[in-house]
Amino acid sequence: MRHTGIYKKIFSLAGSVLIKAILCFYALTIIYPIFWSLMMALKPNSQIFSDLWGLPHSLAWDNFARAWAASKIGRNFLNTVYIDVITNVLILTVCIPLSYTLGRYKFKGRRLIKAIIVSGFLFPSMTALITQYLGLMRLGLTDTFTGLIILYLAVSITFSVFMLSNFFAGIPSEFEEAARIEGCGHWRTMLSIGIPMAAPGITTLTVLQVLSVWNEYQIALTVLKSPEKRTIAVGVTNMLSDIQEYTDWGAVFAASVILMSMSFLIYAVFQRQISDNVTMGGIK
Amino acid sequence: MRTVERKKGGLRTKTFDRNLFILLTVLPGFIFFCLTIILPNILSIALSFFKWKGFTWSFQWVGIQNFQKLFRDQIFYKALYNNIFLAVVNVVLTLVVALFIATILSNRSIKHVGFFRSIFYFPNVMSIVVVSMLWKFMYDPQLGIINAALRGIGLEDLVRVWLGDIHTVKPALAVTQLWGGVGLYILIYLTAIRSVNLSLYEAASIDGAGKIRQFFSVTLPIIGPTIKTALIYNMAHTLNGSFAIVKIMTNGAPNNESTVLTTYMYTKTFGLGDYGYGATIGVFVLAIGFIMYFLIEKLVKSEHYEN
Repeated sequence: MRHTGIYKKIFSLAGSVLIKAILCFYALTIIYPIFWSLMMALKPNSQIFSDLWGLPHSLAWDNFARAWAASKIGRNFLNTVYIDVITNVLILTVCIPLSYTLGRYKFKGRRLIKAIIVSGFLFPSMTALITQYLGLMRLGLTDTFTGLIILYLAVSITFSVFMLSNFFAGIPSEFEEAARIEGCGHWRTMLSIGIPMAAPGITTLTVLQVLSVWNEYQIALTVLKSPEKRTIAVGVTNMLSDIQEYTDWGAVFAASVILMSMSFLIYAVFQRQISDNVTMGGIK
Repeated sequence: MRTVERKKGGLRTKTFDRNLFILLTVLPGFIFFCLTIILPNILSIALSFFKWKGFTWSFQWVGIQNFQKLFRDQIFYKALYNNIFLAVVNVVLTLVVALFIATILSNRSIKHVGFFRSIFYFPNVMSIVVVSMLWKFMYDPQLGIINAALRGIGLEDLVRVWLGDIHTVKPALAVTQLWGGVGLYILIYLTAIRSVNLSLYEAASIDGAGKIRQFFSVTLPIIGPTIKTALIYNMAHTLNGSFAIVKIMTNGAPNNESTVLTTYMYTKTFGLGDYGYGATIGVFVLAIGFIMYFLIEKLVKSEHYEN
């Protein structure tokens, strides 16, 4: 009897050690590549080829300077900040009222409208991109920030409305009802009570959308052609495809670290909003 | 008298105000959505019946010629196969890995769960561009740490030009895709597993069910609906997501062994200006999405009833 107890204990101890080992190993496969690329970005080009594993002999900050200036990554960085800010202001302006009404009001056609918007999850963005691009061409908006922002707004609506309207539907509506009995109009009620109450949902949505615009590749690659107009994601990949000609690996690593650092910064600051609520928005 | 009148007027304005409010909040966004998402999808399907090279605004009706051309196109079949390979491998691997990690992470003896969660989710926060570049660097024959590590531990035989070898390029891309995307699903399954009532496990354990048995007969049936939604979401995401990974890491090389439908379509449309043919490929991407959606819907549903 006693023996089986001891065996059981040893067995469960081994199990928990194994579990911890698996988790640590998996964490390492994520941390190490990122750490490695950071080290590569800080090594001078002469060391990159000769010493793959080592720490930088001297910190080559000029990798970053070359990426920032000569490869126009700085310019692309600022473009992306501009596009990201405008896009997100527009997303909020369009999607908050839409989601509020879809989540709060019962009216004819509400289910149909919501179904049509949510069906956007099923359409691969590449199929529509052809005719979206033709539309931009017709309007003379290819290779412009405006054209890109229009498409970013378009592709963000499904997720935004899906998430926000569920959020609105899930918070209690007593305060709004009380305000309306007091004689508050629909607009006033939405602006001064409904929206502030949904602040956590709106914050989460904004963080996720800021990240997704920052990280977006396919639409930016299609719409923007001039090198000085590119977003940072496209700019960085272009450095990579030009590498055969100038072999400045240090600068390429530095550029990808710049691109990554912004995602990291947003994640570090808003981690709670992102990882606590990602399950709520994505899948429910 | 006056108060009654006012009340009457007030009532009328009330419904009017309400309807006006609904109209003004819903219509602008909804119309914009229809014009920029629904309409382009329909037009892309229509465009697949036309020949249009993008120089003038005259479209030439060619009927099903684009589709006939597509079915004779060897690269299309390759891309279709690669696409299905990547989608299926990714969806299955993501499910297995995410469920496994989420299950052991839900173990109550694990400390620092928050720390692990943050680390595991981080690749999802990074741009797909960074993920692709990072792995391209790691697979690089000279600079990459994968070959260097294999040499280091004496597995010289396994050293490969990972992205240039027709046998390894697709698995290499699949690993990248998994690494970059699985974190989201770990989080989703972890939340779902945590929401399972603990008394169910206690009951199962009294009945003599071990940990593995408990997973299959308690956890899995309860989080079934979450898994289904996650599978569909993951599938849709993979169809779109493979574009950036393939475009950046291999651009279809070697010899179209890693070309997927979206990159092929991109080359045809925006590289060569054959918009009609590009739209034809696009219709196929759309069709695959719907087929996989209904497949998952069916498969997972029947499994759920069996339980």
